[in-house]
Amino acid sequence: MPQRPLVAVLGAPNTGKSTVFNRLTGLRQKTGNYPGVTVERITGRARIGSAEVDVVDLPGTYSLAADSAESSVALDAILGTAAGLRRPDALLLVADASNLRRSLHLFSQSRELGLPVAVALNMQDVAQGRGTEIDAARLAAQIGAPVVPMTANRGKGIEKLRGMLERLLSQAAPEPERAMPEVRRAALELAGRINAPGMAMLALERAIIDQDGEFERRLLAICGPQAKRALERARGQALKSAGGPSLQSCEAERRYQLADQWLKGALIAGPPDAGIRESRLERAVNHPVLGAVVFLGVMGAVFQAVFAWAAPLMEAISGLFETVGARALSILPPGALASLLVDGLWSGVGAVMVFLPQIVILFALVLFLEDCGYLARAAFLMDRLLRLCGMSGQSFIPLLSGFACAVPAIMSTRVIGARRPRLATIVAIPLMTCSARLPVYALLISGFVPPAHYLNGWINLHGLLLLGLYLLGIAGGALSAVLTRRAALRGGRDFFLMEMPPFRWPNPRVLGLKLLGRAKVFLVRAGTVIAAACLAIWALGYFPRSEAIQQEFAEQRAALAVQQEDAEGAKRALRRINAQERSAQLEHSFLGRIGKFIEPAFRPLGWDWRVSASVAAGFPAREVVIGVMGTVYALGADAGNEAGLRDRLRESRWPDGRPVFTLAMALGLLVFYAFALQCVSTVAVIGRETNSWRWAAGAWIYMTGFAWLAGMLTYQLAR
Amino acid sequence: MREIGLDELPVGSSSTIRSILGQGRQARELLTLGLVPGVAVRVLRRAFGGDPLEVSAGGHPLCLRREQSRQVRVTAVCAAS
Repeated sequence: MPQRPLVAVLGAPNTGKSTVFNRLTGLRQKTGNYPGVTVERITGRARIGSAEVDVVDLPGTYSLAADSAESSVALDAILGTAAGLRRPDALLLVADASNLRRSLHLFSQSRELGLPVAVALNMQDVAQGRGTEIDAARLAAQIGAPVVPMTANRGKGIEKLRGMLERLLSQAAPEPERAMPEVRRAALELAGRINAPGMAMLALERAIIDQDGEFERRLLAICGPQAKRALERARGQALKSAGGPSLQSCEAERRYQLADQWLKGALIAGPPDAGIRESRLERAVNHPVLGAVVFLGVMGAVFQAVFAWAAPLMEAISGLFETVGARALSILPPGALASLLVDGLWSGVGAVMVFLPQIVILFALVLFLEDCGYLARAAFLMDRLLRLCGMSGQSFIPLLSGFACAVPAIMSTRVIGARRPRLATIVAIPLMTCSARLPVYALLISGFVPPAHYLNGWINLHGLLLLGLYLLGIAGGALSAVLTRRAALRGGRDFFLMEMPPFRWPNPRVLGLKLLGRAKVFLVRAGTVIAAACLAIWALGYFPRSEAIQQEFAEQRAALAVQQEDAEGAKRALRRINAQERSAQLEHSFLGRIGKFIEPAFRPLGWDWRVSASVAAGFPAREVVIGVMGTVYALGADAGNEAGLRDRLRESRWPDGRPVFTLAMALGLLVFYAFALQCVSTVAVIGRETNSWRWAAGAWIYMTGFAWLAGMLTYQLAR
Repeated sequence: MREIGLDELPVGSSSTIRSILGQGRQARELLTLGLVPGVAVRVLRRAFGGDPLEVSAGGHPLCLRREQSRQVRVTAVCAAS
C-alpha cells in the first residue's frame, strides 16, 4: 500500500498557523512530543480531494536558522531528520497578510528546500482592518508559488486551500532559486572535504551561515572539533564572494529585499507606518504614567473578578459533592468499601472539581487579555522589573497564569526565547499563590487572626493578610528566580525581542478552544494526580484498622442505645462517637504514625502530630489538606464544614493543655504553606519542561527547606 | 553620514538601519525579525526608565532591550521630525 502523502504546515508564531491546521484536519489529530525536546508534535489527517493526507503542524518559527528548539525541530522535520517523522511531500506556509514582509522572508528560505510550497495568505480580516490590500494572484506570480487568501478563524478560504493542496501534491518541486548561491557552493565543497553522515546539504548551508548555531554544533559533534577549521574556511570563502559584515547579515538583507520586492508587486494598498495612527485606547495604554495606572487597574480587576465570580461556584460544587457523598454513605453498607468510594474516590474527584471555576475564570481572563494584545504591552512594561529578578518581560504571562495552576503555567514558559530566564521563571511560578492554597489561607486566617477594621471598615485585617500572603508568594518567587540565576545559571547575556501585536477583538471560538486546552491540562495532568493522591492518602489514613478501637466504640454505641434520651440528643451523641472513632482509628493508621514520626521535625514550627500528619498528607497535592484535617480532627459527617473545622482546631490541645493553634503557629503554618512545593504534578512538569530531574528535585528540596525555615522563623518570632 | 546606535535615536524620530553589530545568535535574532540594513526604523516609545524600547521596523512594531538596540546602527538624524 502506498504511503499517504505528508504535508507540513510551516509559519511564524501568531500567524494563525494552528488555526489553519485545525480547520484542515478537524478533530482528527494526535499530539505528542518530539523526543528529547519540549516541543509539541501535532499531527492530523485531512481529506484533500478524494485522498487522505497526513498533515503535521510544525512549531512556529520566524526563520529556518535553527536558534530555538522550535526552529531546529521545524527544519529537521522538513529535512526528514526529525525522529519518528518522514520527509514531507509538500509545504504549506501560513503567512500573516498584515505582516507579510516577515512571512515572505520565511518563504524565501522555504522555497530552497526542494519541496513544492504553497502559501496560505491568512489574517485577511486583520490586514484589511489596517488598510492593507494584497492581490493574491499577483503575489502568486511574483513568488512563483500558489497563494490562497483566507481568514482561517472564520473558516474562509479553507475549501480553496484543499483544492490548491491537491494540485500541489501532484506537482514536482520547482528548481530552487537560491538567495545565497555562494553558500551553496561553499557547502558542496565542504561536503567534499569532511565526512558528515546525517547532515543534509541544507543543514551544511545553515551551519556555514549561522555562526554558533545549532547546525554548527551538530557538525562539530559529528565530525569532531577539527571540522571547525574546514567550516571557518568555507565561511570565509562564501563571505568573500558575498561581501558584507557577515553571512547572516547578508542573508537577511537579501531575503528582506526579495520580500519587499515581491510585496511591492502585489500590494494594492499599504498600511500606514505603525505607531502613526494610534487609537485613543492605544495611546492611553502606551502612555508611561497612564499605562502603569491602567496596568494596575487591569490586574486588580482580574483578581477581583476571579474572587467574586468563583466563590459562589466553588461553594455550589463542594456542596453538591458533600450532599451526594453523605447520601451515598447513608445508603451504602458501612465498611471499607463505602469509605473507599465516598471518602477516597468521590471526595478526591470533588477536591479537583472545586478548583475548576477559579482556574477557568482566571485562564479565561488571561487568554482574553493575551489574545486582544494587551499582555504584550504588560510584558513591555514589566520587562525592567522582571529583568532585575533574572527573568524577562515574556515571563509575565506564565507568572500570571501561575495564580491559577502552576502546571499549565510552567508549560506556557515555552514562549520565553532565552534559556536562562525561562528556567528562572519555571522556578518562580510554583510560588505564585495557586488556587489550591486559598482554602487553607481562608481557614487559618478566619480562625486565628482576630478580626479588625480600619478606616471606617473600608479595610479589614483578614483581607489585608490575604493580600500579604499573595505578595509574599510574589516576593518568594522573585527571590527564587534571583537565587537560581546566581547559583545555577550564571553569566550569559539575555535578550528580549518580541513582536508587538495590534489590539484586536479575540475570536471567541479560538479563545474557547485554548481555554478548553488549559482546563484539560489541569484536569488530566494535575487532576488525575490529585485524585490519585486523595486515594493514597485515604488508604494511608484508613489502614491498618484496630479491632480494639472498634470494640471500644461499639460498646459506647451500645451503652448509648440503652440510655435512650430524646431522639435528637441520641443522634448527636452517636455522631460524636462515630467521629471520635474515625479520629482514633486515624491515629492508629499509617498516616497517624507518619505524623507522629515526623512531628519532632516540625516541633520548631509549633506543630503537633495532627498538624504534621495533615501537612505531610498535602505533599503529593496540597488540595487534600483540608479534607485530611477534617478526618484528623474528627469532624465526622460534615467534614467540609469550615466553621466546624475551625472550632475543632481551636479546641486542639497539647498534652499539657496549651492550645496548639495560636496566632503565631497559624502565621507560621501560613508562611510554610505559601512556600512549600506541595504538588507532585508541578514537580513532574518541572522535570518534563527542563528535561532534567535534577531541576525538579532541586526545586522541591529548595522550596520545602525554605518553607520550613520561613515557617519556623515566623513562629519563633511571633511567639 | 554619522552612524549612531538605535538606542540614541529620540522617541518619535525615524532613521535607516545601516548595519547590525555583533556575531552569532544575538545578531541573528535581530536580523530575523526584520532589523536589517536598509530598512526604515522608528522609535515608537520607551518603557518607564527608558528600557525596553518599542520600535517599528519596516512598518511592524517590535520591542527590544536597550542593550540589544545598541547593536542596531542607524544613520544619525538632526532632531525629532
